[in-house]
Amino acid sequence: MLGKLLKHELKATSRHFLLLYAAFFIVTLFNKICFEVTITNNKFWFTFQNIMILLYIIFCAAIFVITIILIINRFYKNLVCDEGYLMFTLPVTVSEHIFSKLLIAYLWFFLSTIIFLFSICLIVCGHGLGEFFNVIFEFIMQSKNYYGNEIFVTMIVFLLVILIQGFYSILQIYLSIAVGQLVNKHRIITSLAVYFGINFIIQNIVCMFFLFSNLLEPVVSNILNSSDWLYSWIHYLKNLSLFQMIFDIIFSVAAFLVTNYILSKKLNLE
Amino acid sequence: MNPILECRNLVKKYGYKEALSNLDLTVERGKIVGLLGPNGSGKTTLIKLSNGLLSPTSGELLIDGKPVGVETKKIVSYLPERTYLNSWMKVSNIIDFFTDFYDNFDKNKAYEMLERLHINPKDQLKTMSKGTKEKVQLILVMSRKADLYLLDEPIGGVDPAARDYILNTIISNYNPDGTILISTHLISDIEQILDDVIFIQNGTIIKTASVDDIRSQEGKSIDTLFREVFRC
Repeated sequence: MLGKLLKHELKATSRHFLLLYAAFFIVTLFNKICFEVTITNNKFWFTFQNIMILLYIIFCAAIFVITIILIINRFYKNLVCDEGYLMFTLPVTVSEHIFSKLLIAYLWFFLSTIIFLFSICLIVCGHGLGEFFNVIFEFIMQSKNYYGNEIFVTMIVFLLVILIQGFYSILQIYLSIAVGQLVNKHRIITSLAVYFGINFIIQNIVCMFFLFSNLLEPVVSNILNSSDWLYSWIHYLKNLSLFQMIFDIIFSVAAFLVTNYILSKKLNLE
Repeated sequence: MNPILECRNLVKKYGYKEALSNLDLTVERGKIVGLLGPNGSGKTTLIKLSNGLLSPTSGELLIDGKPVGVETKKIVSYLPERTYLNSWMKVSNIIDFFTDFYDNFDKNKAYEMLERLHINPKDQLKTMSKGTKEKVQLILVMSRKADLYLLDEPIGGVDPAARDYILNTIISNYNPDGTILISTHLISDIEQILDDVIFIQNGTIIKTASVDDIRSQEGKSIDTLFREVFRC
């Protein structure tokens, strides 16, 4: 059943996302052309190029904003509005519903990021992109020579944190919508309040944890006092990322379980 | 064989308001049953509890002897008062959707009914009138070979000709081994097809009887009896 839900979810959402990506691609191409063409001593063209760059930056931000809006809208419309009368009477469990939406939302989130990065590379291509990658590569190789594989471990942990953070972000949205549908009036405001409330609470929890576990103190003084501050920084970042990852996993699981409970036992379709 | 629907001491509260109070009910298989009561009597609540959209506050509700869950949803076909169809699909898409998720969905039957109504499967749902969408929804629900059909106000807000059509569709297409539970307050149209009636008020069952018994014993139509029982 999960497979069928995934298939259906993909079908339902791909129309919007593929349209978004097509539009972004056209904007990228257009900007690339504008960027490459130089008409010397032409103030109009220069101004036009700058305006285009500004629009491009706005569009880059927009692709993420629109992605999130589409993800929110899909969950809300399909599960908490009239379509919920169909979805929740299907012979599938609530956790299958949440999981299928989570996976497909994550897929689009991931794709939006890839397309964004690809677009940036395309624009910057031929203007120092190669050198940029070379510098990064050099840094990694130097770190490896001096400190062994610590740098790779740190990079992998860093990447994992970013990946897991994606799941958590989506689950926090779903949880907020689930709590919002508990009330009969002002559902959207309630969901927003819950979302920011959760943010606030989590930031405080994470802060408290780091303050009281002495994680910062010895490390910072180690870094400042050590003879090899770069190594200490890499080591510190790795530990920080590991803790962040553990927190994200715990919060993700908690958000999933609470959302599952609310939509199973406290479903309140209008 | 267990009765298709059983409620024991069923209670449902919304906050402090009790929508269903210690409700006891047994519905046997193979009957067309009318769930009749004034607005706010608990009809929709009972139906939503039966299809899993609500959970009981206390008490038990069993479908085919099992508590409500994935297994019971496979054998229950639900027609809500509102349209639950999305707007972007074509009719053929939603038929594929039902075929995917319900093993007992009869695709051919659905297409037959659509054709009889001159509804083009390639039409998008968003281009259809409300009445046509309701007909599509009814076709989807009745094309399933379910053990329990839950129809919540299937003829409310529909013109008299369409009402006849809907009632005809219901009778000629349901699974004969199955049970239909129709919740409505438009009794005079419905009573011709009912076997049994359940009168519900303020969250409790006032009376259950077969239509024949009522007509012979009380000598009244169900519609008349309803007006008496639920006189304001």
